[in-house]
Amino acid sequence: MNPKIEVFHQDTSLFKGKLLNLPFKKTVIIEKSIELFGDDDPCIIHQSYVIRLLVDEMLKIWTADGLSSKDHPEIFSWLDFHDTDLRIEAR
Amino acid sequence: MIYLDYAATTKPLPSVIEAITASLTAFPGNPSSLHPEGFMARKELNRVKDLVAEHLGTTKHKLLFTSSGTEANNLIIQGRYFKEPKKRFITTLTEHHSVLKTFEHLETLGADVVYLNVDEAGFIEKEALQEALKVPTALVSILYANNETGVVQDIPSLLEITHQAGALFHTDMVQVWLHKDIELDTLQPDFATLSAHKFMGPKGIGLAFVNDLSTLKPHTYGGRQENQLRAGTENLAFMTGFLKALEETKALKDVWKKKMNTLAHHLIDGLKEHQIAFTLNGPPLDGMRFNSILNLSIEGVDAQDLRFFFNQHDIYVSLGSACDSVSVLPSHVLRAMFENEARLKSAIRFSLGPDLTLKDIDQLIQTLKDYLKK
Repeated sequence: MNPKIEVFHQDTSLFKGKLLNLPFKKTVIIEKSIELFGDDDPCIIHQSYVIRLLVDEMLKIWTADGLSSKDHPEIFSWLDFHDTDLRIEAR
Repeated sequence: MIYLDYAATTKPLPSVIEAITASLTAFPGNPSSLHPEGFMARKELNRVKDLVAEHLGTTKHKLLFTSSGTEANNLIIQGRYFKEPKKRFITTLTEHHSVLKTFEHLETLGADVVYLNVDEAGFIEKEALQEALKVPTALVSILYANNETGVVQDIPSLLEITHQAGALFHTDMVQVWLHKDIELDTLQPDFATLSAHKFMGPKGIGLAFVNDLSTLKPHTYGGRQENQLRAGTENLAFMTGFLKALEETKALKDVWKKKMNTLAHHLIDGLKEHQIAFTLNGPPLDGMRFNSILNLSIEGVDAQDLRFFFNQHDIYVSLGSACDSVSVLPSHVLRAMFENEARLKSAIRFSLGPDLTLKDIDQLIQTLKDYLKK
């Protein structure tokens, strides 16, 4: 599953694209890679697997309205956006 | 857990593990040492090699143990290049990376390498090989059975064409042993490669068959081990594991082959029955292929996403994709066979093994149906 989404800060669109292409923080990917593979320098295949895992976590709590940083601050802490108060909506 | 990744590796048999442990305990000496501990180890090494050679239809002096199939391929290909650097090298676009990357490296040193194309089913055209051989050639290297598609090349014919042109022939046979007996002196390649972990042996031990030792330059330097072509203290325990795996699997091979054929037909028939749209990449079942390695493009599927779903349902498969620095690339083997991007991105390899049951295949199909319903 890789739905099209849009990320908003208030009414400003910050990202439009597929869920798997969200800008995940490199530190989060590395952290998860260490947890999964014991690898602090994962190749692109392992990085993409980690991203799939993160996206899967997001989809498990996905609602009809999408996701908001107010309800799920930990999920949004994975993303590389400067703004807080974010929401993701399906497109 | 349903393991459908036997072409990647197999689990060592308990008897193999026991044989390795027993060897480590009984023969701690260095086979090169000139004292009784060394003599014992040397004698055991020669016994093991004799038996391995017997199973493979050859003699022990033509066998060089390495750390892997990859190292064996490097030993042969680089060994030929450093022996005859001015001559041509011929291979195919569907080889394993241990062959392709070695040739790519040799090209940076000035080697003339011809990469033969394959047709949509994965087969080399014999005429293209004949054409490429018009230039004096040091080596032709062609995979016996493709690890991603199960395609089996017509090696006896390709070998004959190569020999008629006066060139030497190498075939990587790492996927062969579980499916077919190997009689090296009957087949008569100049070089061949095997790897124990593909047939219930340990990881960390491969084998290079070299018909004439004088046709290679060594690729490592140091001691005089392995006929002076592969320096380094021999891994006697894993050689013993290699032998044990050969012995145990040889006895079961015919039964397993029948079982894997049944499983392959059950999978293909089941997908059709459930109206799941797919393309079998490579020749049809029972054609020039190993039925146990099935590469399927499943319509409308993102293979990476499907593998993730399978993982979550304890079904383990492979894709054959590779990575460059910024992206995940579809399999180079499939790309050589066809260029349809959707078909490339939806391709999954199911490689079957003797532990699987018909029920496992049914569960695989049901899980695939669940995924497609999402």
